[in-house]
Amino acid sequence: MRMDTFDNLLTHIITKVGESSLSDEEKANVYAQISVGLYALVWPILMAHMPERDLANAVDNPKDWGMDRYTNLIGKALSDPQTPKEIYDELMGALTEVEELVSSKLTSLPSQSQP
Amino acid sequence: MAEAQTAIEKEQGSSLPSLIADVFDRRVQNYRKDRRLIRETYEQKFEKLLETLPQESRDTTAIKIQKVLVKIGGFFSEYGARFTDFVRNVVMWPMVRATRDFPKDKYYQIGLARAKAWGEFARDTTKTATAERMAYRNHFLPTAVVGAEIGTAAGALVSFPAAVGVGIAEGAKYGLVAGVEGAAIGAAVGGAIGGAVSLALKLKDRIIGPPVLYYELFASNPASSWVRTGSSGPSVPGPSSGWQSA
Repeated sequence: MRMDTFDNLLTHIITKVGESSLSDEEKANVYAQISVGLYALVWPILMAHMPERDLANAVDNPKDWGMDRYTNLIGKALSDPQTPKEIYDELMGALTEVEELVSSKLTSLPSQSQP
Repeated sequence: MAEAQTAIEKEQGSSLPSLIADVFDRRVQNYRKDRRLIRETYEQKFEKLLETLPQESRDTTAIKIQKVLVKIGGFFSEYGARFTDFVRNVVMWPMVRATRDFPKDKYYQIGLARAKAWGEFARDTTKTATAERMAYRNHFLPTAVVGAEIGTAAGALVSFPAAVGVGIAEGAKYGLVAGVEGAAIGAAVGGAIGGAVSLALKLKDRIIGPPVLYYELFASNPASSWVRTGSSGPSVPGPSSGWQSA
């Protein structure tokens, strides 16, 4: 069952990093990279599922650009049943890789004190 | 023994941020290749469009945002509430930024910093620490410091997933102001667990954005404050009930 797997995986990563002996700056950097990476991964998938003609129209006619055209493009991208699945699979794949990295690099006991 | 292990971890852990950046960057590049780059010609232009969505008033955007969020809720319902809210946050951000009177609160500032860092991330394959990324990292620093304090107090007895589960089971409610979060949850499940739950939630809110209920977009009174009003994560109800904010 996929329900909440994403949330649990993210929580596990946060726990592991939080309990590690990394400095506060390094922890903050890890969280920031995960955050930026997750956001960056969604857009190429959404764009790939936007009708090419609509996308071309949008970028070629910036004067007509507005919230209605934006929501229309997003709606069309999401109406492809493959889109949510691809977004989920890509993000879970990435988070799983991150979790493996974190587990392999952070192996010590939980820190007792921090600088 | 433990000290030696910690030293090894510190050495190995210092490479984590760049390795994590590699993971996402590789996936973005692979996805583009799989798609035969069909959209690459539009990508930068589209990013620019996202940044320059014409400004509208909150009254107007609230309705438009609501429609998009409901749609996303329908398409992503099987993937869990937190994941659905994450996608909502991604899609909502350009609209939020284009809302003239959107409150410039801490989550707005985080979103803005993230967007700048993301722009760099998408184009910069050298993984150099740019000013934007450093600035964005700093949005996590206060939380990381709080985490160290909680970690020292609570020890390693409580795992975060278990604590979150307990917190949700107890119907934990939390507010926006730091300290209130831990206090409200802690009252139900104990101070240490509450602190751990609070920390995990705060970090997740920063990483993937707060639950969309936070924005109270659909309040009948537009002048009401935009504060988190519901519980978080998996306990957030589906779209149909989420939009009837107090």
